[in-house]
Amino acid sequence: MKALLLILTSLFFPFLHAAKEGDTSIWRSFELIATKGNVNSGSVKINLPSSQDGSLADVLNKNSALFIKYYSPGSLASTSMRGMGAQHTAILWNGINLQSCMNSILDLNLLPMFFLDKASIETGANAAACGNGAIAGAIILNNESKENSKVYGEIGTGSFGQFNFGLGLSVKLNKLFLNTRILNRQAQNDFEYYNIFKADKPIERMQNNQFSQNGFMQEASISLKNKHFFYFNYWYLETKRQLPSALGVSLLAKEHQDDYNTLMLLKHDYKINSKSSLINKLAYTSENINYFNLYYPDAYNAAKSVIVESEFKTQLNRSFEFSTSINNTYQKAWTDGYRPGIDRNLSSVFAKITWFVKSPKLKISFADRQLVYESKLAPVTPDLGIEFQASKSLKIKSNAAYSFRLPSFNDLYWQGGGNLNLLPEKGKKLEVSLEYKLKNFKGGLTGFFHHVDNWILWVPSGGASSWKATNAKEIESKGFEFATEYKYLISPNSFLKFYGRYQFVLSVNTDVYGADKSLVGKQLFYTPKQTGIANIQYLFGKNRVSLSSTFTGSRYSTADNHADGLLPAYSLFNFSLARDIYYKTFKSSIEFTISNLLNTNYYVFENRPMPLRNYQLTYKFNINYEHK
Amino acid sequence: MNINKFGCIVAATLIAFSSCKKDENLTVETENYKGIFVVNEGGFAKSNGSLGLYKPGTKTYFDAFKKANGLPLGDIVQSMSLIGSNYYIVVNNSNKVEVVSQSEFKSVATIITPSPRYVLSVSSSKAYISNFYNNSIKVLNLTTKSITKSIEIYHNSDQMALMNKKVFITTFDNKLMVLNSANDSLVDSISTASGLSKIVNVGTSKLAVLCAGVVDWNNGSVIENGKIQIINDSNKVENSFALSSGSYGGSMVYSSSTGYIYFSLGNNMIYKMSLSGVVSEFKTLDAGRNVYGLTYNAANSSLYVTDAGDFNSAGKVIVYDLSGNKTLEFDGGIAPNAVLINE
Repeated sequence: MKALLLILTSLFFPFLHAAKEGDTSIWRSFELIATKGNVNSGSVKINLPSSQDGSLADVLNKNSALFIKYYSPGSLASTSMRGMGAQHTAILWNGINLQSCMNSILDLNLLPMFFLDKASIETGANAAACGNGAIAGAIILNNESKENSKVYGEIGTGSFGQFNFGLGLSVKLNKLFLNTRILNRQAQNDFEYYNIFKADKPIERMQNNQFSQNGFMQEASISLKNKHFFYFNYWYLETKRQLPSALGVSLLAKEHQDDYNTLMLLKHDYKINSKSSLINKLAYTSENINYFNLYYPDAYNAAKSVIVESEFKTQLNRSFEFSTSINNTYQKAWTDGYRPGIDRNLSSVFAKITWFVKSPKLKISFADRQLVYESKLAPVTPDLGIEFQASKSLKIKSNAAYSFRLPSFNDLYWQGGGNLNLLPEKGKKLEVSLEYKLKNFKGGLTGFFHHVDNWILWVPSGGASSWKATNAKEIESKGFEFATEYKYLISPNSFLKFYGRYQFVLSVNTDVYGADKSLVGKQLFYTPKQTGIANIQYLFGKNRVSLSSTFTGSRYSTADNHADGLLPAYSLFNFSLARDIYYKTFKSSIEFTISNLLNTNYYVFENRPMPLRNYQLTYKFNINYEHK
Repeated sequence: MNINKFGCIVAATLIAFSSCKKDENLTVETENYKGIFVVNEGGFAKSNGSLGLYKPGTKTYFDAFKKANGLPLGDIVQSMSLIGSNYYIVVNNSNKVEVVSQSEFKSVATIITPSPRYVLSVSSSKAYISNFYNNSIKVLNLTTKSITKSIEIYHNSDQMALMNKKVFITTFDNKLMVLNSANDSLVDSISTASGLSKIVNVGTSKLAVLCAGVVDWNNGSVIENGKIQIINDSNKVENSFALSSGSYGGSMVYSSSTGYIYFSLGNNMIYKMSLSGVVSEFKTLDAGRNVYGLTYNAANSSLYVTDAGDFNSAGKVIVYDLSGNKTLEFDGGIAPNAVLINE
């Protein structure tokens, strides 16, 4: 069936180019391998397609080679980048790190794509640029709305009660720009699955898996005298979801969780002169996570952060660029593990100098960040990046850096297991990339090596009933990443586009700090060695056909890599058909998607079934009401 | 490059990503299901609990329930009892007791009951099931494999011991509840020392209970040392022997051949205690090992120690003779807490 489908797909495309109308698609031009705007010098930045539905987790899952760990649609989702943990990936929202001070992770299913304008992945991004937590890399999320007056939105429906609605209104009033978005997403998520815990594996429906989210976003910006640019962004998200059990687990607990998230940013961009600028940021984030089940007392967890940052950039001369920043982050959290509340202050100074050499065409940058917390110095984070334009088509990049992650509040203070003597995790890495660009082809190949020491784990301590956060081990992660994209013009108004990404990673324990060394040399559990994605799109006139395949390699569910815990690899195919509908300034599109086209029965986590074949229908529109 | 070539390249790439393995079919071989059964709890809410079987002759280990029935067992496999010609496997967080035949290990019944912990036979036709989240003891008809009655005991319940037609039930409130097994009535309750954890028969007319003491959850320091208390047939605490430390819990067994109680407070130390309360060290496990469960096998006078390790890797089963010599060690499943020998 798979082979037949692929053969049909490859034969089908050549006959589809009977397009007659101009290429004025509503689909934004998508460039997989970013050519500029890297957070970190010397690493490859991968863009995610914009104009996507669902959450950030959904988009990463379908469009990146990152392994997204989630139990079920809409459930807690985190990522494993370069074979490391969710806590090692910084999530930067308009430059603000959203990793929770409670547990160092952010649930990727909480962030709706409708509120984002641009998302990208920078594997290997470092602590110097991103601060605490960026050991494996960063996911970069930005709002970059175009300043024109329009009404826009989307409405979608799909299998197992999926419904999403988003509406946006942007207004340009002289120099003031306002942009408002609201959204509602919900799903019953009562999908069918094979119950492997029963004889004959009957098809049953998932229970206790509802999801709903409401959100509001307000942007405002004003430009004064072309020197001062003020920007404000506010998000509020309310997410309620039931937490389904693993197969075989009693459903009596009826777990559910409510999340309330607020993000706020005020930015002042001051252009001092043609060579220098000063950017000041004030940000506030808050998260409330309320957990309920029928057996145990309710759990109410809350955290807040206030971030103040000032960054100065200047072009010293034709060859040198210098930037420096100071950042102060205040964090406070309240949980059942530390009910009176815990707070801390993180202050850091960052400096970066970049040297541009004309011949040979070379860019060398050196950066460092020094962070101080609770009167202690965090590990240093020197960062050296080199980019060498070897030819018109070939760029060679390299980056060597140190990074760190401070223990989270839970690691440090949780009653019964928190450990005040924990050391920060320390990382160092080296990576080398080749970027090749020729006409409509781009390719990027990166080899990387990471070493992380003092890796924090909760382990049994002095008996089975007592667990404690511990600097438990040292790991090494090495491998390579490959990204490619190709655009083939068939006619002036039709083309084929292909992009793919692949990652191979060996992420193993190189030492375990304890008497039992049996886990040395073992691949980290739930870390597939191979992940990949291939996507082909055919755009002709107002139509688009897309077929994508994601591959997730086998991975162990147990730390000792026991064969019984080996979860099989799986491939998923998604297929979509879309058509744009235009009338004067009214642009809209309708898209029909079949996810898991081949009805594959697969598991991301052990005993957590995922949806079989399912369907989505989405309508998007965009009305420009300001005539030029 | 023409478009057909391009299509072929794309197809080849997609095919490369599409390769996936088919589910492996379990091959059911002839098996006598004799050896050392290992009760593996599995990780909480992961449903990877299992009932393994180690064959000392071939030194092989496999998931016995899955092999015999083609199904995984469930979440938190708490205990296993041999009653008549059937094993009763309690799967706590799956809310069920799987009944399998002793000879073929095939499932003969599945009893649905909330948060079961242990099954204790009280007569040839009746057994009791304790409950973790339910203040009652369920009465099980061993013939029909159905629950016929619920006895209110006002506390969540855990381990049980039968002595002279009375069933003594440990609770999480430092009370032993006493039932008359003849008429299923609650007849008494006995206050114990703090941290009531385990109960074991000591001869025919006494019981021992392990009370692990009190530990400060904030910092792990011991607030109150544990005790081992002897309960007599009059439902009284006859003796109370203070231990030198405390813990969150522990394990305890009794050997009638030596007359010692063997116990651990969950670390790597195993002690033995005479019925007069004299405690001495029996064995110190290797560094990094912890006792998660103890089982005594009278047939070969051996102590079976289970170590759950990190609860995310195969645990260990280590066997000692009563002189403290290690006679066997093998890997079990995730979080093994007990063994049952059928040889």
